[in-house]
Amino acid sequence: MKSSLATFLSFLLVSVAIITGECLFLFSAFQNIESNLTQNNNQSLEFAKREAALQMVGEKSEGLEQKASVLLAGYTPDPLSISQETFGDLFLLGVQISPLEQPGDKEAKIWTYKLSSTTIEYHRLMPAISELENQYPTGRFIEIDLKSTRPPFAMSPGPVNFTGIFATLRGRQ
Amino acid sequence: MLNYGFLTSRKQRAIYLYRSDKFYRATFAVLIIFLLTQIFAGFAGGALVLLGSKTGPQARENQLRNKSLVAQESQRISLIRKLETITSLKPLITTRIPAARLIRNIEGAFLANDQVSLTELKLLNGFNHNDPNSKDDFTIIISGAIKHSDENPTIVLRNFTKSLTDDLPKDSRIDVLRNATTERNEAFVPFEVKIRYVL
Repeated sequence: MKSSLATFLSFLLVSVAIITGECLFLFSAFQNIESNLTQNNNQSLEFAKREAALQMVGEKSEGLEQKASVLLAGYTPDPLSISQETFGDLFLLGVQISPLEQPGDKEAKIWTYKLSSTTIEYHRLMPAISELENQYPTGRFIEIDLKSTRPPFAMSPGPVNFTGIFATLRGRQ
Repeated sequence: MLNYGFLTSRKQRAIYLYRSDKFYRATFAVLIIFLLTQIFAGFAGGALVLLGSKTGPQARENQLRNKSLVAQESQRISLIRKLETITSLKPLITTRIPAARLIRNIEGAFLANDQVSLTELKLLNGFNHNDPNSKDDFTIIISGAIKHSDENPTIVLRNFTKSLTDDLPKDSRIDVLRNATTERNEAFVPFEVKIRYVL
């Protein structure tokens, strides 16, 4: 082989190897910097959102606390106690209320309450049922049974046989 | 031009060889290109170092902001947890149809039809509390009675179901389970209507 050809080939190979290595190094460094910049920008945006949210929470904390408490009423880790405060007019009207799950039941995902009455007229019962649903936004009546105790078209209101099952979501600990 | 001669020194001959041999010329071209790429690589490297030096302070600033935010958030952690819970429960709260509202709608249909009276109402909601995407799924069975009059009970029931259609939400399905037909000489004509409403 001619010495000039050997020189050319060795120069070419070494140059290509060095340039390839440099390109790879520069490319990986560029990617690293680019990912750092993207990460920093994303974090900055996220922090700006968190700061704005915190500022909003700080300004309206009192109102938000109240609204949050209203919306999460009944979302408790234990069943509701049976009282006027928790069952409102239904309790006052003498509706029998009994929780169907035990407080220690770890499997329960909802708390259900059986309600029954045979002494309340329809026009007094319905507002109380409506009030209970309004009191617990996460609660739902999954069953209501109303049966008239009077013959149809009775001229005076009479009590209805009422049974119902009301369920609220169980709150996490 | 002569490559060799009496008046040509070895040095001159070597220089001439380098100029005339195509591989040596190509080697020179490779060397020039290599040097140019090194200059370019130097510039690129410098630019990357400059760019990289800017990410460091920003990262440190972000760390400080994060620390400050975590401290501020920990002061309001109770409210933030409540708000997060509300966000996760939002579909369950906003899409809820209160059962009392549907019963009030049914009550409206009874009030609009004097000859119809309610004897029993059974409401079932197939809502699955374990499924976050579950929707209210109401099945309501109304048992009632129609007062005897000149008007055909079937027509009275038809008017009643029409009132139900008007008063209940649009997607409600109303089926007559038991038609109002007079079989014996009864005081009232019984009927049954089934309402299905899925949100």
